[in-house]
Amino acid sequence: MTDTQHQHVELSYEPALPIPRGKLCLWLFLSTEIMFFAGLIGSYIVLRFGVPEGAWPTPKQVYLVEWIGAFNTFVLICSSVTVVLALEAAKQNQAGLAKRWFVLTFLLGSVFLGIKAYEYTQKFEHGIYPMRPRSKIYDKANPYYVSAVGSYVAGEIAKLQVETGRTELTGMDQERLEHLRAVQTGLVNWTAEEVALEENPYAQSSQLETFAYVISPLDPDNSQAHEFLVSQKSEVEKQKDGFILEQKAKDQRSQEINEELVELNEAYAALEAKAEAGEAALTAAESEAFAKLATQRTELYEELTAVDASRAKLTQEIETYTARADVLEATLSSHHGLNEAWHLGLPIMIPSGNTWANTYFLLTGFHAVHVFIGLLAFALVMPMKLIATHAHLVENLGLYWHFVDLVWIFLFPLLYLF
Amino acid sequence: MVSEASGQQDHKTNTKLFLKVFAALCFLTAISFVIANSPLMKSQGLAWAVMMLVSCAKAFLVISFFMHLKWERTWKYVLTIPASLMSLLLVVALIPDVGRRAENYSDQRWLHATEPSEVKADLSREDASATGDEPVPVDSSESDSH
Repeated sequence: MTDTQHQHVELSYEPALPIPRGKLCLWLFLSTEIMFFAGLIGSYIVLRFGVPEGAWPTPKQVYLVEWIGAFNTFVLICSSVTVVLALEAAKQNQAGLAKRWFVLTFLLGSVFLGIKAYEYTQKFEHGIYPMRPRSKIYDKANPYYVSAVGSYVAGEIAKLQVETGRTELTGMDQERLEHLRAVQTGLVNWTAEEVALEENPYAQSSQLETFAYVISPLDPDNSQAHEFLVSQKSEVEKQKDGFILEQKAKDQRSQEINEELVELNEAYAALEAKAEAGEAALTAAESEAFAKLATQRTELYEELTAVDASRAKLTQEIETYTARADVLEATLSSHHGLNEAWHLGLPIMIPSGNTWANTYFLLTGFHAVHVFIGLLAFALVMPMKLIATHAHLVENLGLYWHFVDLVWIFLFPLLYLF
Repeated sequence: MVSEASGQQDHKTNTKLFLKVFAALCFLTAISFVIANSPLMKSQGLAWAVMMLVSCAKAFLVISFFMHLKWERTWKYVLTIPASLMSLLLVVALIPDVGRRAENYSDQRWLHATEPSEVKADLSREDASATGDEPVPVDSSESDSH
């Protein structure tokens, strides 16, 4: 090495990575995004497969429609192609063509978001929200769930009753009130009583499962459960008919007693008046008859009280059994249980439903936010002329957009198909 | 960046290539969809594995062709591999306590754990008849009629 060689060292700028800075920044950003989404998706997988076997909702149970998800995948793939074609056109300096592909990409992205919004509203309609108080999901059919349904129904009834105080209820509200009352007696109180009187924990849990099944069946095609409800319904109706017959007999007896009492009272009053007038003392026969009448009267009054009490009890029983029969009838008439039949919006039971809702809304929500930001960026670049000198903008935007597509490629099977 | 020598000819072949990739992506999506509705779902683990492989294949297509990584120089590894490894590490770290949580549930915890739900009609009948005196007669008479 000589001195002259040292003097001629020329420092020239050499980028560490042989790519434009904008693209480098975008790739650095994307590598953080990889970690962000991989973390989210990974935790979803771990949460989903860590639950006890079979205790994660199937897509159908949470109203996910496979083909809608597949269609959305298709939309995003198409938008990836269009943005890549826009880049190709821009590189060739075909600004018009590039613009057309670009606008098409924007539209496809909007379609994706529109479909997503539709899917979200479908979930909201069924009471599936990411968290309380809007979420109506309960994870387990247990007494807490029953009491939650109970207090919901009581609250709804109270609301309608407040309204009744102000205005006349419309026909629909009247019907709703009747349905709510039927649910209160025939489902909530019925199950609460059954569970309280039952000692066998397995039978208890079975009754609670039936309760949840009646409101919203997880497996609507379960023929065994269907048959069980049908036989229970016919049994309840048989009981109800028995009670009605009994009540008729009691009614008749009550009427007979009342008629007898009228006659007795007349005879008794006549004798009493005679005795009080004091004009002539009662004969021995008369006073004997008087005493007999008095005891007869007391006996009849006692019987009447007993009959009336059992009549009241029977009325209550008939009410309960009618409500139960109505509830079962409505459940059996619709494929998806009471909630579908009466639209009361009762809390529903989905095992791991809340964890599912949390992760679903978090994952799809973050993805949708990314799509939305992508659309904003597209909108900002849209007014520019997409000539070759602007191709790098399209390229960077495209990279971001493909990444968003990439995330959905993994989300689709995980959420819709597993 | 796409190779510097991208002329008109290159442009046409590129477009053709992208359309081919597009067709492949649609085909792979269809495969996932068909698998999800096929009897293969009975052995879930296998179906899930196949679907994830399909997704990885789709991701590979998107990354290499649409994101041009096929034509990029080695810097692509610097930016993608460490990030992927980090995220993998994060997920693996969750497995012992979150992923395997159900294996360590105590009996007390099981009382409040989510379980697969099923209406066990027959069980309730047997149990109802076993316990005998039923103040609410529905279930017990059920067992009699059965």
